Amino acid sequence: MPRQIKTLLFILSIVTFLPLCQTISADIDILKEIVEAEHELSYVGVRLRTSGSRTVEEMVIHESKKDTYRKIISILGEEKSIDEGNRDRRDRDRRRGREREDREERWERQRSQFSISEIRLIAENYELEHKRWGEKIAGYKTDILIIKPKFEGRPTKYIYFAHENRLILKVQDLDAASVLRGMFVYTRISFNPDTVSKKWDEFSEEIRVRPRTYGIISINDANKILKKKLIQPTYLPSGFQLQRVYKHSYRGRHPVRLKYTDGLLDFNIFETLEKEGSTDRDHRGWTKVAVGDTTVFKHSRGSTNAFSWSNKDIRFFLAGPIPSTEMEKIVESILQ
Amino acid sequence: MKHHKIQNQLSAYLDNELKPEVRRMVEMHLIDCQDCKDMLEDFQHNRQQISDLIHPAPSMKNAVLAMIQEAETTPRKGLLSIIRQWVFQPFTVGATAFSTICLIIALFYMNPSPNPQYDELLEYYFGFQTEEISNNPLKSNVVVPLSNETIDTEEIIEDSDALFDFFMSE
Repeated sequence: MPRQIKTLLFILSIVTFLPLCQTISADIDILKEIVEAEHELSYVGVRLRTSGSRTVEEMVIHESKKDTYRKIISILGEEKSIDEGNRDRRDRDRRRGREREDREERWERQRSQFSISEIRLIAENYELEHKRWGEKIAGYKTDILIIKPKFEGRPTKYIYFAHENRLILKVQDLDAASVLRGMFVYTRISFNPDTVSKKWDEFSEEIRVRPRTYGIISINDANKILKKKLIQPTYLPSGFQLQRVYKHSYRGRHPVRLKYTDGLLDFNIFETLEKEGSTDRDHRGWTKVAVGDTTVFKHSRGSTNAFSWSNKDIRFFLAGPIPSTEMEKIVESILQ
Repeated sequence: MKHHKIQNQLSAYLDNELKPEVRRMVEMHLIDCQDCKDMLEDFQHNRQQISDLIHPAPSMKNAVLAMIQEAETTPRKGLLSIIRQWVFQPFTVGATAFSTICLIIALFYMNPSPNPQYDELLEYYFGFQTEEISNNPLKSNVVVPLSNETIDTEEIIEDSDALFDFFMSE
């Protein structure tokens, strides 16, 4: 092939692929702008949020550079107990209901920013598509950023954000079968600094920040807590990686948590020193399965799949919105 | 004066507690004094009435002997019958039933398990996982559930549709 034709083909390929690269890059930039707006802008608003079979109306306030807080102001749709005849389940539902009511009576801190590493992971594991939509939400013209999975069994996220300032006004979460599983949408929102400041002064007295019960630790620290080398899975679902290790404090116990993420989905592995043998009674309502010689209990609550087992004086708890088959592979890799 | 003194001695006279010379003096007076004679008769009458009312108390010795005699003559009760007699008293039955019910309720609600702390730890893990995700709207919490669990998707879709309708009417 003549040298001129080769050069021509090279130039043509560059010309063809350059806009595509620019689009991807531009869409990551949009995601960065959205994350930045969530952090930098001051706003106060009311939004509807639905998750599972529950729909609530909540107030959200964010004063620039401070944490975002939300509080439920009304419940529009309430979930029902699926199995009224099961006493254990009914009791647990009641207890959780009371705990949730306690939580909902106060302002909750909302962590709503992706870290740089999470944005990078999203770009690696998901396709980003930015569209101009033009429809108004809460009085603001919006654009859409669609986060579509590259791997099977992962969710799709639609982020509707204000064209003017990039603040998120609506989010839809669709499962792998494109079924809508959760969303929120602002019905009223104000970016007026005076309004936000006034509301902040009004609410800040009510806001009681609960101290965090966990902190970041190194793997060496984790080894010391567990008195042995921290056990990590050798199998991870595609695109997932260890993000951080945390030490928790709960009633005199110090579970170590390994957080794995693909950017959009997170799952956690808790490891704690075994105190006493686990019994079936501890896992009432769980399904018992055998993985090799080990008895593993599995359970599902909402979108969270969980596995619990004991091995080599360590109790493990694996939980996350990951398909059960993938989680079983993680368990097997830990047991090996 | 002598008349009053004699009246004061009448009770002692009846009880035979007077010295012989005083007793003689009282008897001499009673021959001539009708008032004192009447008073003496009243005393005697009252004493008779009182003595009719009093029943002599049995002595301790007699009481014990009577009990022994009764025990020997009546057939002896077995231990079982004594226990039965005690157990089936209304108060004992009521108290036992109440204590049993309290115990059952306590066991029912306290739900003692060999390792109750761990169950709480599971709840803590689950709670943390759910809270962590729901507190971050940029994260997704969407997954296909385990095969043995079902999610009422119809209800979710209905709620979502209602939310869309609400939003569209804005």
